[in-house]
Amino acid sequence: MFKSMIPNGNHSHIITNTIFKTFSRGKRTATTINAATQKIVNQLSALSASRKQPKLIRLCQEDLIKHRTIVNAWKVFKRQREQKRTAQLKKQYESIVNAMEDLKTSSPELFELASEKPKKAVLFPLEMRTPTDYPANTPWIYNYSPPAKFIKAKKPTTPESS
Amino acid sequence: MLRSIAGLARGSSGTQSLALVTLNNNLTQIRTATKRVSGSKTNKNDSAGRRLGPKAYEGNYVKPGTIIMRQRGTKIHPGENVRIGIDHTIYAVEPGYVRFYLDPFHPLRKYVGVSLQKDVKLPIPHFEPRVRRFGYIELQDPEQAQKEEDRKSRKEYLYQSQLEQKALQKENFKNDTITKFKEVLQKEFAVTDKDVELASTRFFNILTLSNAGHSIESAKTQETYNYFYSLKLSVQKGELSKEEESTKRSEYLTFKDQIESQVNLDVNGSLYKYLTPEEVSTKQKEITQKLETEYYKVLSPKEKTEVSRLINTAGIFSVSERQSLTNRFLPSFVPYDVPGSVIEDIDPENIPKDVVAQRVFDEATRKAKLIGRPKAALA
Amino acid sequence: MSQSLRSTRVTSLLKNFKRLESSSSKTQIKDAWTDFNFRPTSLKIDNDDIKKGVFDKINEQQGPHSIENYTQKLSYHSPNEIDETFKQAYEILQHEANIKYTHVKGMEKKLSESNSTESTISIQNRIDQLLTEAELYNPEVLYNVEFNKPESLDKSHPVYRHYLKQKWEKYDLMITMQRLEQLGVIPDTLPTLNPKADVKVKFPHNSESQFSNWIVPGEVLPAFAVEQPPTVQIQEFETVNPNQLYTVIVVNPDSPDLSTNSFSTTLHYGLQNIPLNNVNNIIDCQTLLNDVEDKFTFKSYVPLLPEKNAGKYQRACLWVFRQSEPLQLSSSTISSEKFDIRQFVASNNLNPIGAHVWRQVFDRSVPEIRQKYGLPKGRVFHRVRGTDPIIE
Repeated sequence: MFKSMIPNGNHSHIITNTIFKTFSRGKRTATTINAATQKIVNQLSALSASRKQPKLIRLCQEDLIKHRTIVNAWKVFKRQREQKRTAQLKKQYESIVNAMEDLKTSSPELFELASEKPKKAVLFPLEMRTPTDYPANTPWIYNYSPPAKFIKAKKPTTPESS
Repeated sequence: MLRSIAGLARGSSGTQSLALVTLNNNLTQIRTATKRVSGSKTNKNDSAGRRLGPKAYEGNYVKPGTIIMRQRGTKIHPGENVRIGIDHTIYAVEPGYVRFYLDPFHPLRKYVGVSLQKDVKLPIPHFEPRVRRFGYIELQDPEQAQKEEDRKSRKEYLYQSQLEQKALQKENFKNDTITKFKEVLQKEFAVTDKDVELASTRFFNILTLSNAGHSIESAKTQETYNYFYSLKLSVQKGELSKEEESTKRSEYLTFKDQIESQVNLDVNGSLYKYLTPEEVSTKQKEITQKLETEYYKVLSPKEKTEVSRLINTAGIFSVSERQSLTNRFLPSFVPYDVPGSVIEDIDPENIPKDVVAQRVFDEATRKAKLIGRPKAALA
Repeated sequence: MSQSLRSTRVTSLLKNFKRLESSSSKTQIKDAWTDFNFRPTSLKIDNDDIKKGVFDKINEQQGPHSIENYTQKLSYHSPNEIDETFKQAYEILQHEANIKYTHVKGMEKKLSESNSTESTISIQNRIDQLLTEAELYNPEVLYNVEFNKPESLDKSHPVYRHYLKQKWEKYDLMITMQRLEQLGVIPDTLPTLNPKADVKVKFPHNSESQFSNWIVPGEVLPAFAVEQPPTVQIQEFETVNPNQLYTVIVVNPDSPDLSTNSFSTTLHYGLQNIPLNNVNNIIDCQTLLNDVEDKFTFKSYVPLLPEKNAGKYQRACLWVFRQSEPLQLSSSTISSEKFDIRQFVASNNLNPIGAHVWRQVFDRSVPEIRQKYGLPKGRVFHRVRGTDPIIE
């Protein structure tokens, strides 16, 4: 295998299908710091800004250019799509305006009806119960009537009792 | 005496009132005097006036150091030719006329400044040149003037010995190089005695220029220009006439052409026989071919000197080419792809003396492997 | 899983794009970026190995050519599917360039038909803009801009000038303007500057590398380092009119004027009618060697030679102007003492496009250089500044 990577005559490029990495395995030693210290260390290291950054991808010159080209193309593509969309919307709007103008001349009553503004939007029901972290499955029982036994048990209160 | 009496009186009245209160507890309330009549400190912490305010008024002539304004905080901001002290005192730093003014760049501030001229208003318009005072007085006495000119700052004084040493080194290098060049020019290229002085100086100057970042070609042009420039200066001084200058110019040009067709200077400072561009390119090809075929391997010390000699052959390769050739053929750490730099199948128990064992990761088999590398490849 | 998803997404995008393409008008020019019949070869990547690495897949066995270290080379892995995506991206961008080049062709036709100079200039500017837009995203141009030396870029092409201008505006311009303002070159010499060109200055006669490189604006230089005329590089970013001439002057607004106890401006160097363009943009010793009859020089160079104790420092302000017509200035008509630069600029109809500044103080080499230039011995002033007012 090593012989295969050593070219005989032509040195300008390497004919090989193997990749070598020199490496040395570090000594593994038991951690001497206690659990509490380790916890603080972990917390501090989690706080460090550099740790939160995504890992920088190292690209060779060729791949960097490819990457930038792809980003540029994506930019151009998005711009074109957006331009197309705005052109479409503009056309739609113009045709609406034209139609309304026509309607104004042909039938003013229908125009009034068509240009009537929608009624006030229905707001969030104020009478509904306060939002909570764990709401009930049925938030409000509108037709609530207490069970009969509660009605029976209920006594009229008198001012004397207080 | 009086105080004790007063104290007694107060004490007695106090006890009396206390007695009254106890007596009439359920009947009436009595408000006793809590405000002291005199001897109180409350309203007595006033100080004398600080005499704040302007000390010089609009149009007044002031000298450097004259206080213009005393204030608490910056009621008035320092403008042109004045400065502000730690207690916001504004004082003049140039002699001139006091001007209170508004600055359009800071519309909410009031400024005070010193105008150097009587009829000039402040602020000076934004795009106008500043008015500045020179202020230094010429020394008329030549002796005193010379003394002042020779006066050194402490830093300059302390550096003298180092500067002298540097100058001496430079001088020695110059002399050595020029004598070396003279010798070579006379012996190897048979330059006439008339030209040898000028030629060796020229080559030395080209060498120093190339050391400062010029290419040899641009250094040559620069050196020619420098020579012509010195001629021009001597015409300006009246040492040469215009005609003499032009004859000297043409003489120098012929001399230059003649010497350049014979000798050339290499970037490492050696003189060699002039080579035409064609000759240079054939030689380049020849040397690279030789290096590729014969010296792309783990080299012995002797071979290394030979390779270095080939790469540094005068006038063949540029500095960057030399660098890349050195990187390829004389690397400090021979890469794995160089033939003979990897010895396979070594016995870990019995490693030869001139081989270093190395564990490498073989990605094809995904296993670590022991290989040997000759010590010569790692030097 | 995610890779295959991504790839399907990309292909769908491409389909979308192709639909867009078919809907747009038919283009005449195809594959503009690979056609070097009407485009200069400076838009190519010179190194064939690198070019192969960009356009074809990087050979996993050989590694990328741009990495020199052997082990790094072999252990390098490209991101997944970068080549396939790149091909599609290239197609999209090249299509845009094709449209731009078709426009350029139309404009060139218009240019050949136009007869007034104004319309010619406006059409030329439009063509430059279109050419810049057409080549802005070309990966080969991107490579050259990113990894080649700025000196080796082809300044005749507007796209390279566009990128060079961007780089200049990011750093060198900011430094220059800061120094001009903080050292008071503006407004002590001219009211203000609208910078149009990158002006660089160096003194190539120096044999010490410390002083022979391009100088940073505001640097304090010793007298021996400025002994001979400077080399000035004027890089214009707009396309230069072929008959454009330039004027360069060096003034010192800090010459002591004892008659008023103030300062006056002195002219130290003056060049006129220098033809420059985007490519040949340097005034160096070769230019001056060819200028034997002082065709360009209307004031021969005299370095600033500050006298002892004459102020903190003196500023050498170098101004570069575009001329509106050829000038006939001569040293006999212009006095270098009490030089009024504002009046000079106004009367000769000059347009300032760039400036540079360096500073000087008295040093030990001043007397020697005074002697070389045949100047009298410098005055010496008292160390302590007096309190006499300005004489009006």
